[in-house]
Amino acid sequence: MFVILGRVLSSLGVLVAVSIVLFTLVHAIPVSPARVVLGGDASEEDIAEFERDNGLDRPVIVQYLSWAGGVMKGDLGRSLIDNTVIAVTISQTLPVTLELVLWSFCLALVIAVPLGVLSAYHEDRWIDHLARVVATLGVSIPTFWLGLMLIAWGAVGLGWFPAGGYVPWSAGAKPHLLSMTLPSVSLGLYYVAIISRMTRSSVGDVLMADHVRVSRAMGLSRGRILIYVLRNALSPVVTVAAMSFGYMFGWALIVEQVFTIPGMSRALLNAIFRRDYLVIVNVVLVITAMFLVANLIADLLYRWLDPRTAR
Amino acid sequence: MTLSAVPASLRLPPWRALLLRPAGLTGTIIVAIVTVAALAAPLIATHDPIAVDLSRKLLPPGATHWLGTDQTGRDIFSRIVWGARPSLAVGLLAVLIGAAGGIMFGLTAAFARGWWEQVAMRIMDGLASIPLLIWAIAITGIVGIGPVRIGMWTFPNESKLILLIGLLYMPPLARVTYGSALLEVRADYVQARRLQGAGASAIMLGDVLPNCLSPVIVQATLLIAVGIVVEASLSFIGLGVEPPFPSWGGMLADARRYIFSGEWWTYIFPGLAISLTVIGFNLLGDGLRDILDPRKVSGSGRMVV
Amino acid sequence: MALLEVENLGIGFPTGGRIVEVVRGVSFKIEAGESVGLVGESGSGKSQTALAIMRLLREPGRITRGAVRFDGTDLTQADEATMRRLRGGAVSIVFQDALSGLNPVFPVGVQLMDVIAAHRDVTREQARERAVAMLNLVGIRNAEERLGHFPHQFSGGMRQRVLIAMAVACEPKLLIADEPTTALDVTVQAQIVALLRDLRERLGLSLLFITHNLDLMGEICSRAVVLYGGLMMEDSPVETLFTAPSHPYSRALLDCVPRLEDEPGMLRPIEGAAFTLATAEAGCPFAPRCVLADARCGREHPPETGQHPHRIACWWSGS
Repeated sequence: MFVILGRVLSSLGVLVAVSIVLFTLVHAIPVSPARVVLGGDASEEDIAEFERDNGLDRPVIVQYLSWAGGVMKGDLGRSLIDNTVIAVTISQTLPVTLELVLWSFCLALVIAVPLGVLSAYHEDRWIDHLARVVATLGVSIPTFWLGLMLIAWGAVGLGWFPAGGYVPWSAGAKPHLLSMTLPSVSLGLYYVAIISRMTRSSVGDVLMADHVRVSRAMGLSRGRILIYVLRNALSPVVTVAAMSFGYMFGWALIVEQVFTIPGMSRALLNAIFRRDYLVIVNVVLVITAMFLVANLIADLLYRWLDPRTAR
Repeated sequence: MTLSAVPASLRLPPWRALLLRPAGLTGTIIVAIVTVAALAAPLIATHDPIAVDLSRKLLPPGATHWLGTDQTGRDIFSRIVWGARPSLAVGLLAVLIGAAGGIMFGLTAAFARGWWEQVAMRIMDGLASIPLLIWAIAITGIVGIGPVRIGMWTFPNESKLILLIGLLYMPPLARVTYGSALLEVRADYVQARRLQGAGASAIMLGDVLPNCLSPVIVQATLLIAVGIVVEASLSFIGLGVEPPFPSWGGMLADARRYIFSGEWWTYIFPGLAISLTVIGFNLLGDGLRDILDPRKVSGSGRMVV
Repeated sequence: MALLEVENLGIGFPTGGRIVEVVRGVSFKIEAGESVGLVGESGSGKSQTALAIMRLLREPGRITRGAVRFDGTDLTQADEATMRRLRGGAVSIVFQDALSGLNPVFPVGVQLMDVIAAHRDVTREQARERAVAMLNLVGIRNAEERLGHFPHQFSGGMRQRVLIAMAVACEPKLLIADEPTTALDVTVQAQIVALLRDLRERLGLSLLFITHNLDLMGEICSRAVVLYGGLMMEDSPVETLFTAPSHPYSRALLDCVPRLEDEPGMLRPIEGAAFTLATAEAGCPFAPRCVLADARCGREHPPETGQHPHRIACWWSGS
């Protein structure tokens, strides 16, 4: 219990540290945000006025604390450029990104775990070699190029899938799922590679263990032994899978760009090209938080799955 | 039979063992080709990579333009050759930064033990909990796209990437160094050197470090591959190498719309260039692991991004 | 008919294009209720023989020749389903890896009940009762409560007791114990041997006890099969072996056993280098270290002489 509490606190600590680093970075840049927003030809008075209006003339620490206080109450502040409420922007775009990540995650697990188990059971047979090729390609083909190739093949060539865009659930389940298929595959392949390799090495290690030989010597069925093996091999796989879930948010931004999906990437890239600092800081913080939560879950699952640390 | 059972005299020198395996050989060849392309780009490229000639736009591969031309008539082959430069620069320089920092933290932590060990490894844990890609995007976003001027020097936009990726490479490299350095520090020969009165830094750099390098080299090779993918991805969304300078990711950004009109050479060749280069470094890393690191200190996994 | 008849058994591992035999035609038998020791140094092929009987040889090892007849069935020809039914059922085994032999992520009760359920048509409740009874039988107190504990909550000796409980839970006719005490403390070793002896009487098991420890073997076995370099040297009643060993190797082996009058810490090794397959030749494998050996010993392997229960493979056994 204390361990869990400690992990939660340390995750929060990292998040606070990250927010401080982000804020410091923004203010370490010699050019005032006001100058960026108002343009190079704005007068000194305009700049000063803008800074006063937006509280930018206060010391950095005060700005940080007032912003952090707002975050506690769910108020992430407003865009300096178009004055939109950042919490609203994020709540509109995050679900889309989250859905993409979830689909890719499930896809990766459904393919990677059986592939890894099969290749561990059939070491150096064709399925193992196939899995190795898939893994090498998976870690090597950049997500965005895979996306472009899938568009060329599945949308332009075969015409089965839309070439991009996001069809909401309300427009029907089938068009919605079709619009998510290619993006999920492009985002998922890298993690198929990572998770299947981890599964293979973990299951392979367990298969060499003495207790598996005992299970075989006691005449247990293949199915029962598989369950024994999987349960043993699970911890490292679950850890990598949960961490992958966190990392997926980063690549999801790239995939959203390839498939023009209106997720957080649009908000973030718009903000970057317009130099809308507060939006950048918040979006990055939200994604980092997702990542930390995934890591936390990975850690807790690991503890929970291993009886030696569970109690 | 374990490797240790083979008498040293019968063991192949590492580079021969590497080249005897199909994966290692393929990796070495690809990496060599890319490296030569990057170093000798002016000699190899057939055209000026940024010379616009609208009269020659979107030509398919042929005798003059081996891999065709892009939407402004630039030669794709030449752009791919030049594009190897930023890719390798980001991949290699980031790993150099990461290795320098990682080795320093890992080695001193294994050596000093006590409070510094705790602090150093906590710092590495902290860095490891930062997701690389999103932060690469964030840094460019906050600092702004464009070259960085420090005094009389001007650094291209991607130097921000190099710094950040290098920083985030430190944890995996530090852990690998720390892991194998711990084994070495306890070894008899280190104790013997201590008794001989050798200084800590002499033992650390002269005795322990050379023996820890193998797994670090393996990890570093795999991390070069990661850096290349990150650079290409960021250049693709416009946050990496700035146009008109050729980069593989940037070329693909230009080529996206031709997926619909059928000029396949614009998006096939740059993508192949990235993928093959990354495959090359991955195969080389796996091959090096097999021969340099039979104990698998470098871990069975690779850094996930 | 004997319960187990091992006849001319060969076990090989493919190495560099050819098959190297680690067991090269070993024969012995175990009558119902009998307790036989399989004795030899490491590398003699005794553990491989045990694994071959269970058909559990690690890949790529395989049986190259011979037959293993259990209750009249040749196990070398049996299909996987038959083997699965026999393993843990009529033929069971206890390994030497007491510390790592239990699955670390399942409570021992689950593992024990799974073995019972694999061979008996029982309800969960019946399996549970039987599991409790088995833990009691092997001397684990608080059996009900212990069922829910994980292996790491047991000491090494207790883990081996649980493994023995698993092995005998379905009342096997034959129990193979492959160096069951190697991983344990000396005091615990004696307890485990006592337990095995006790179980043998209570359950009427036949026992194949594999060991390099002659003392332990003497406590539990009535007959001993001595292996060296993958070949049988001598097969003899234990008393005869201890009082009047016929084979020079048996004699050398007995000389190695520390005696009370020895100075503490003193070991009497057998002269010469231990057998390795790399140097295996046609002749008697022990010839290079044997005080009696002559040219014929190094050239030709001696035939078996004598009748069950006392067989010897040595050119000098007649003299």
